[in-house]
Amino acid sequence: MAESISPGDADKLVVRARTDAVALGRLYELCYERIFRFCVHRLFCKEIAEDVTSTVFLEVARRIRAFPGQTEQDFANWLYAIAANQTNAYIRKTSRRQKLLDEAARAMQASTSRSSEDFSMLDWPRLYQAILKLKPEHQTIVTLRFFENMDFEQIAKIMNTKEATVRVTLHRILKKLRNHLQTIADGEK
Amino acid sequence: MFENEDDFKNIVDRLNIDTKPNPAHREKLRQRMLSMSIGSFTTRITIMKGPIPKLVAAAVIIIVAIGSIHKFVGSLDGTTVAFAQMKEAMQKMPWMHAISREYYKGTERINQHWQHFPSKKLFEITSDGSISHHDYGTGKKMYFYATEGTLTISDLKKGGFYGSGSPHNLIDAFVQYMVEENASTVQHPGKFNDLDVKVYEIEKIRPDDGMSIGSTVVAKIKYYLMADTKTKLMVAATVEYLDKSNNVISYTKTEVDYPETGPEDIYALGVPHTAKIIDKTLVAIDIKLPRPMFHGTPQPTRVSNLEKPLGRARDPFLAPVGTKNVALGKPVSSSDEEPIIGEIKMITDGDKEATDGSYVELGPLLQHITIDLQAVYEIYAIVVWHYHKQARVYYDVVVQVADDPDFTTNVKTLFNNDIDNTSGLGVGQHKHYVETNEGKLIDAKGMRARYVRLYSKGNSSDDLNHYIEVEVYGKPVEQ
Repeated sequence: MAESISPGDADKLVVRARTDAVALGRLYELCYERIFRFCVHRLFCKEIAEDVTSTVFLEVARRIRAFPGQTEQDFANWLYAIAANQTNAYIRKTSRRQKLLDEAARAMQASTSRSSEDFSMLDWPRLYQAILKLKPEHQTIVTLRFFENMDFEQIAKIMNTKEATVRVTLHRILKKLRNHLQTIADGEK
Repeated sequence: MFENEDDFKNIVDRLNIDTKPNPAHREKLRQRMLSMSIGSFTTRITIMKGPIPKLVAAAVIIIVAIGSIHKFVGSLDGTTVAFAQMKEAMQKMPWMHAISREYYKGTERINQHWQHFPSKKLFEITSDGSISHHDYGTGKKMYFYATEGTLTISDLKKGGFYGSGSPHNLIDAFVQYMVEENASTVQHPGKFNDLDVKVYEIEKIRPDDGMSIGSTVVAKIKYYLMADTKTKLMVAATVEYLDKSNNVISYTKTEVDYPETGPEDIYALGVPHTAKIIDKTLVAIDIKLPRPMFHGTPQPTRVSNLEKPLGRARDPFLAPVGTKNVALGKPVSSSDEEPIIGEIKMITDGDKEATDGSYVELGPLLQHITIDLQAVYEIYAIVVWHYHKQARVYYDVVVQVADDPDFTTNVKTLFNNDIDNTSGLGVGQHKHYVETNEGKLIDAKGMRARYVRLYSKGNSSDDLNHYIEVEVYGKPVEQ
């Protein structure tokens, strides 16, 4: 479980972490679970999520000296941006994406839930299959908004875009998701 | 069908997704990340092992320790006062943090150190991921072997570079070393990261007979210590190792800063809490002695190569915590299957008295007994009582350990006083000794073995062989 720490202390840690492994270690403890959870939501398999989480934090270790942020929020946004890039990079490769789809399909067959036609009973493998049909950047928005419960302002900072763009894009994404879920449901009939 | 964001959010909230992390992965990644973070200060890092001697590896400790000088031995052309000021300024700081980069043949190795002056604690992370904690207050050392995932706890050795009391000992030795070799110093102003500094150049010619890096002999060492002119704090240092043509063979650059806080313990530096702890802290082993049967240690005059009696009790023997007599009650076999007096099993029955009924008498000529410890142990000491009712000397005492009962595999000789090799087990280097109630303690140096064998060939009173007790002090081998 991540330790609790006051926002002021967390900000000091961020500044120290550029040259201090102890501070970096504490930041790691504060952020590991969040990033791992994000990776699980993006990649379905915990083993793959572990690999990508590793890549994220090793990237942090490589680049921490040049990190310009001053606050814990800056650091968290930076971490999510790296995590989003790494997960996107992972699923852009077709073979890897297919592997994730296969995993979700296997889990879906094993699931006792009813079909995706009944959205109140929608299970995670079916929803993941639908999400995976979106563009990687759109998957990131869905994950940050609905799984990480972030507001549009933070999502915009992580994705380096305007808040309004995120709002409009999300509206379109949900429309596409409905269609993808319908396609999956039709396929099960 | 969901119609809007809220509907979709409700769906997501109802999902049951396992996002619980694996603690092992978490710890392992933490360790890797922290190890790599040290390398983040440069663009490339190559792990280098081997060619740079310990002195080079210790260079940063010398630099770090220079702030800990209690007294400056002699004078290096008036630098003493400046160093004293530097020391005073540095020791007012709670923590010193140093990052050193060692360069050799295009490769780079980065070490990171924290030193806490009040408690005399030193932490170090090396570029291969190993992490150590030297506590010069308690005299203990912890070392995390990244490749093995083990955390070894041991005592600091007395004296030497990493001796207990270091880095204070170290810097005294360093200064003495420089003075004796007529090191020369030059002071001049300089800049370091836009900071006005005073640079102290110390040059030492012919630093160490036979010292080499790789295959190149080191002819000269140059130290450049940089101190902030305002605060007097040392902020950087460079150590160069030069060959006889004044070419730099290797060099170390160190940057020093003074944070308010440092690592609370070795775990704060990335050692996983799951690391297996191997405690090699040394304590005196408890050897219960039998009653003495005579006073003093009379010397049999006819025996050559005889060691002089100590004239006092033997010093306590130190071994890792948990070391005990692992031979007690273990099976014993003998070259003489039918002892003249007693039974073979009496050798490990715990009775060390020299009274009748406590010893076993084997036949003449070379005889041996073998103890099966029934498992492989790390053996630290073997104590043997042949017969201490009289001041006797037993001849051709040879003590060996091995992995098999026939002594064909991994045989190690721990003691041998057969100086003319009449028993055919090799020429011994040890001396004869007089039997006393203390028994003979043989240092086994942590040798790993299952079987222990002791030979003898008569004694100074008769040609028979006797054993009262044999104790083997050891610990089970850590898997």
